[in-house]
Amino acid sequence: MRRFLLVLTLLLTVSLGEAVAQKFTFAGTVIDRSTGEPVDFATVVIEGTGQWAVADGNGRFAIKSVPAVKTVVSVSCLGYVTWSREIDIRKDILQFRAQLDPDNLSIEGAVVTAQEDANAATTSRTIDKTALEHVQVMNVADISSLLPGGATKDPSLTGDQQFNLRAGNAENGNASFGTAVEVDGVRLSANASFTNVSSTGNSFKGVSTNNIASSNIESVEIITGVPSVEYGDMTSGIVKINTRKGRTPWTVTMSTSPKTKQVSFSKGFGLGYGRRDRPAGVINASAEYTRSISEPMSPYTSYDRKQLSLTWSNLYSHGAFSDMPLRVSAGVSGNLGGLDNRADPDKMIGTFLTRKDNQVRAQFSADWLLSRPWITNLELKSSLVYADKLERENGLYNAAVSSTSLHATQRGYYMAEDYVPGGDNPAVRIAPGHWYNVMALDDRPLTAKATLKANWVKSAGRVNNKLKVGADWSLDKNLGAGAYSEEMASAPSYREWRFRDVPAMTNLAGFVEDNWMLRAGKDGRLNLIAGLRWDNTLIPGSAYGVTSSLSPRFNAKYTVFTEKTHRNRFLRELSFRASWGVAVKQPSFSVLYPTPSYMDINVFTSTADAANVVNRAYFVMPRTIEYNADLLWQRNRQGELGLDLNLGGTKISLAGYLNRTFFAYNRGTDYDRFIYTLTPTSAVQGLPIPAENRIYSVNPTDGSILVSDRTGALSPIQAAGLEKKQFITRYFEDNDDNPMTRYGLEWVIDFKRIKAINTTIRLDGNFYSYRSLFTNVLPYCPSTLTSFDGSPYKYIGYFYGDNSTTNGKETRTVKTNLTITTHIPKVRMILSMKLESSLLNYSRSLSERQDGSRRSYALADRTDLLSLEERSIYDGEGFSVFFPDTYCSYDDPAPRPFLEDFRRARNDNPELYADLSKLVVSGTTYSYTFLKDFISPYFSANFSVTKEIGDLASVSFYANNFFNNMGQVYSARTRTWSSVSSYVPRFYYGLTIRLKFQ
Amino acid sequence: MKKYLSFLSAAAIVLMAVSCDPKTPKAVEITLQLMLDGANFATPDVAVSLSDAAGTATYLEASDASGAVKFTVPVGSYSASALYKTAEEGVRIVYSGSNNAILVADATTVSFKIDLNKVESQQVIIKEFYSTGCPKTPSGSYSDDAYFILYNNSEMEADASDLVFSILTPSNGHATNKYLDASGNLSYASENWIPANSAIWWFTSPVKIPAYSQIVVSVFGAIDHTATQSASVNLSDPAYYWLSNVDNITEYKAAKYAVSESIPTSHYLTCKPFGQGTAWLLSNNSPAFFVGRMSQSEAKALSENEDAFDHTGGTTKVFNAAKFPKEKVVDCVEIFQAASVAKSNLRFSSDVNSGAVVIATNQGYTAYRNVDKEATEALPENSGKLVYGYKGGTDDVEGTTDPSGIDAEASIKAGAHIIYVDTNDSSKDFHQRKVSSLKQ
Repeated sequence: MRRFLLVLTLLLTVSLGEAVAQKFTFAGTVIDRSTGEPVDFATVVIEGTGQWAVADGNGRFAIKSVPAVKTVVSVSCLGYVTWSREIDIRKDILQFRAQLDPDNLSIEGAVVTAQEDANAATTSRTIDKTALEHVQVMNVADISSLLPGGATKDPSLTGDQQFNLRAGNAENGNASFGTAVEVDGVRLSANASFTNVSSTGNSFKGVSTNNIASSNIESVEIITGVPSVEYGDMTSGIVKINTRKGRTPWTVTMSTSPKTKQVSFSKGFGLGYGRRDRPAGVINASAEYTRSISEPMSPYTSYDRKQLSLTWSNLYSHGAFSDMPLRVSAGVSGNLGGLDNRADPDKMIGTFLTRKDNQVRAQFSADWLLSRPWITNLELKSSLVYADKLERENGLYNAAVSSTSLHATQRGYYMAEDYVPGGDNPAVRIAPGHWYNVMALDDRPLTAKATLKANWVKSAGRVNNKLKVGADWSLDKNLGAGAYSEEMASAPSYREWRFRDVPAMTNLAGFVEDNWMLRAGKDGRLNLIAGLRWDNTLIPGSAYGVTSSLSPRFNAKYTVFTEKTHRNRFLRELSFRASWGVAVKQPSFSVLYPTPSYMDINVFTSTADAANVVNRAYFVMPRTIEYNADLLWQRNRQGELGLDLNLGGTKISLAGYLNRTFFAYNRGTDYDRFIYTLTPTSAVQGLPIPAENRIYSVNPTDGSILVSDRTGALSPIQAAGLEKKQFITRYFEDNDDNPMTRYGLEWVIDFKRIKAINTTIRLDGNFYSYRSLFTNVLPYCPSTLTSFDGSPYKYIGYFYGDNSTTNGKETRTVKTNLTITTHIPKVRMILSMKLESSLLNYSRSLSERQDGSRRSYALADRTDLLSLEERSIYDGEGFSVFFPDTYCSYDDPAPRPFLEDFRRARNDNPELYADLSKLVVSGTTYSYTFLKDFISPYFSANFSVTKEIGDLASVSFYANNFFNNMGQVYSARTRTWSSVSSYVPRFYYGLTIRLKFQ
Repeated sequence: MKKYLSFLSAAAIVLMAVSCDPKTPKAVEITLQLMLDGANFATPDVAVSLSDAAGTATYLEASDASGAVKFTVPVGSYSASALYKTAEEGVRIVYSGSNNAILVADATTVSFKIDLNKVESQQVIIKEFYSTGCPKTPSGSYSDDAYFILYNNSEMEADASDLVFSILTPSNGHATNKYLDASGNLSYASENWIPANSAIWWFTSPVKIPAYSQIVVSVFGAIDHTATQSASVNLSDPAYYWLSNVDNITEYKAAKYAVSESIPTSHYLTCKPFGQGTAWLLSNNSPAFFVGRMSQSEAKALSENEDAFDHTGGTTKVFNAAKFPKEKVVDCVEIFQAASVAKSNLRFSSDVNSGAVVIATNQGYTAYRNVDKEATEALPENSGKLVYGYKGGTDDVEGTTDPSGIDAEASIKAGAHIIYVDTNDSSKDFHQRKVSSLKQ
């Protein structure tokens, strides 16, 4: 780190010390190639300096104070194909003409696949509107299938979907949680959510993309490599979604598929000119209604998305801003909808589940092009995201005898009593019968974020330099009420846990990044980027305090030559790139604040009266929530090497990567000891006090049960109780000791276009390897069991890698897709067929220590837990056994070696042997648990077609798995065949019609 | 020639008798010795009847300690029969025999033999088993009301104190059965044990069942379930028993485990749960339930012996199975779920039970014992008390009804004694009853 800081300081010194070079003006006109009309609101960007301009009503633009630079200039405008060309600016250029082609299928070069960003120094791909419309994306996460080796999924919005970049499903390391998603620069975050945690508390999910309107997306950029340091709070890549901005005609979209219907409207309005004839800007409005069901055969459980977006943008380039244009954008987007199964007749009568997915996103951004010697531009971005994820579930409850609902939060004994309106009875007795109750979980995460960033661009000779300095602030807070019942008298057991009482989490970050572009030869160039990000997370009012973390990142790209100078050679383009960096993921509230839980022990149940009413007493033991002051923020260390080639017109892009996830968030467990008093039912059966005259009460401190005579005829009787000793778990948030390792290779081969048949062929794919080994030593007590003597189980085992048969997994996959695209501009139609294949699907469960030594033993006789063999569990088929390293008892907390005592107990202490055997993990019922598994190759074919009917309409149709491959795959581990439907979505199709008019 | 000599002898005896005293036949003392398997059946008080050939007189005497019976009867031709019923450890034993060739000819002591046959049958059987649930109010299914009825299928009081109860693993007939080999044979078919699942329950106090009477054992809630579920049953009767072990099984602290005040603690059963499970895994789909006979200490030891557990079902503790001796099994019922018959497998080996009764779940149907028509009709006390035209069997296509046609419950109400079939074949011993007998 010290070395890195030294290098960075030197670079900055060189940058700042550089002489100010001569400045030029770059100006011209943007026109529509097909009509010759000027294109207003077209954005012209000098990529090398970051300077920009927006064309006025006459298509004119001007960028002043441009340093001498040879760089790519791009011109983009909604409805047009982005124009880009390398320009050598070494003098004033005042009559530049950029001719834009309308973005439709009548022009050559339309693509329906993800495109590599040729100028990026790390792996970055963009999926544009044509591709999005062609595959008819309903959930933006579906575009993962367009990445190298991506597989199509069964589309539905009734289940949450997340991005999961360069990671597999059901893996450790919270990959989706570490994937950042931004919509128009607005970061969507799960940090303030309490509901992004799995039921086991061991994994955390990223933001759901279900509530992002898919019909108004212009493009999606996916950065899977090492991103700029301006991006924080992520460990597994960034997805940047850009919606449409600029003047557009009315666009009406209607989509249908067996599970989803969608209709949307959008329009970009020019607001004309205001005072002094200055443009008032553009408003983009869009509305979308999407309804998705989970199952066509029972179309009742549905997810609705009703979204309205308004974005205003304007350019101030007159008067005081004539030399320093200011581009401003403000927008708000609201979504109403969510999951609702009220209409589902398959549910129990009267029950329902609704889960809101309402969200408001607001953003304001300003980009001020100062073009001063000491600063080039200043950017401000701010956003606010507020979500309402209220879940209401109307449950049907029934009990043949009176039941008890517990709401106590303090340790002690409680006798259930009938509910008193307005009261706060910690233990409510509910009469026998059946009843409904609506339980709600009110999760309202709020995230605010602001970033201020300054760029300073300089150029000297063949060297360009861009220095980026910035700071950002974010705040995560939850305004939800947490869990509550809408009718306390009949509420099930729950405890109040008010999310809004949890303190906010603030993150302050500063970053600096220096970007050097050195030209070599005719068109060779070396791009070096070094950056450092410093995050400080503040959580006042908690044990976590302030946590700081540094994220250094480096990118280098050497473009040896390009097609420009090697057009007629076999090797036409050649570039290399390398990246290395660290990224840190802030925890979410569900990581920081595990939901408090309680151990409720029914310590007494009276006999039932004629109405089946019983008196129950409970001992409530809160599980301590320990805020782990030593908790580290999960981080990812990523390295990447890339190679881009053009061989005779065939473009080849290769990217190899190595990701290691350190300190993954995980839930830790420990145990406390406690004693309680249990009074068996038989202790009060047949007491002299007649049952109908009894009043039961429990001593809140010692748990003794007192039976009183309501007539006063007999003195109270204390029932005989039993003392019970038991363990209770307590939870705390923890980090994995051992990192997860992922590495892989991605390839994209775009074969030279076959002009004769207007066809392109792409072969993309990935090799992916994952290995995870959980090495934390965790205690475990099977507290639901009894000891040999009938008492609650009284031993704790300390297990290396938890008390599971396996403590890790390794997988390796090879997936390859072949996409054949035929684009016929004359008839404005594009057809594509994609063959998705899985050529290698390997996995193996692991049970070993960090150094590879033994964790589990192979068993010679599966019925003999001590018939241990010397051979490795990986050597062939067989059963295995796993012992805790040490154990302790309730009465003696000193740890003892387990295996030694277990062996001894077998010979001389049958009771101890019986008890300790309950800690032994011999849990697999299969002899092939540790065998290597290879799933035989499988395939699926998708077909899509898009046809434009003039400029008015277009129609898209797709059929996924159109051969309806429902074959079988073979598992080498289980030696069984199973349906491929576990891997390949069933036959599915959809149709979209788009209408455009002024 | 033999016929001729016999005729002459008989004629001579008659002539001699007539010539001596035609009004007072000569009395002769004879001895009948009861024999079993070639040896004296040395049992006192065995009732023996001796009937003359004309059927006009029947003489009754009881055996002495050596198994001998003395009669003093006139000379003549007689037939003798002996019947002795007893019960040993819950097994009904009937000794019976006859001798139709007893000729009493003169005053000399004449000895005869009666060879006895020994027939054994269980006294206590499962009369009705119910765990498959009923329709719940307002919707769904309700299965907290499981019970079984033990019935004394004999005319003698039965001692049920040493009866124990358990189920086989797997808990459902249609579940994956690790004990089946590739040929579909049970691995313990030739062993002397069956795999008991989760727990073996026993009584905590002496239990006697009078002749042709029953006791009801509640499995989960010994309460009046009809108070909240009209399709269910009332299990709060003070005479009923309850599988209770609230101190030892965590799950048993759940709300559905409750007992009525009216049921005395002496009617609580207990167990020593084994395996990783926290509750007794009585399935509401298709359990294989059995009644055994062993002492409480024997049942407890069997439940605690970790090393003796069988792990074929899986090495996880939840699959621990106690090896219950086949010879200790008294009765059993194997149930298949109606909707899953095709994929169900028998769990009792054929030397314990063959066949299964098919029950549809969540309908309130029970597995009810079929009536032994011949034996029941043979009971003289049942004359005029048996009710025929039984309609209680299900109409369900998967179910069967009682082929005897006798309405057992109606007949019992009319004062009849019912004997149920016991062929050790659940498909023949039980049928699907549409409404619980406790709801009659």
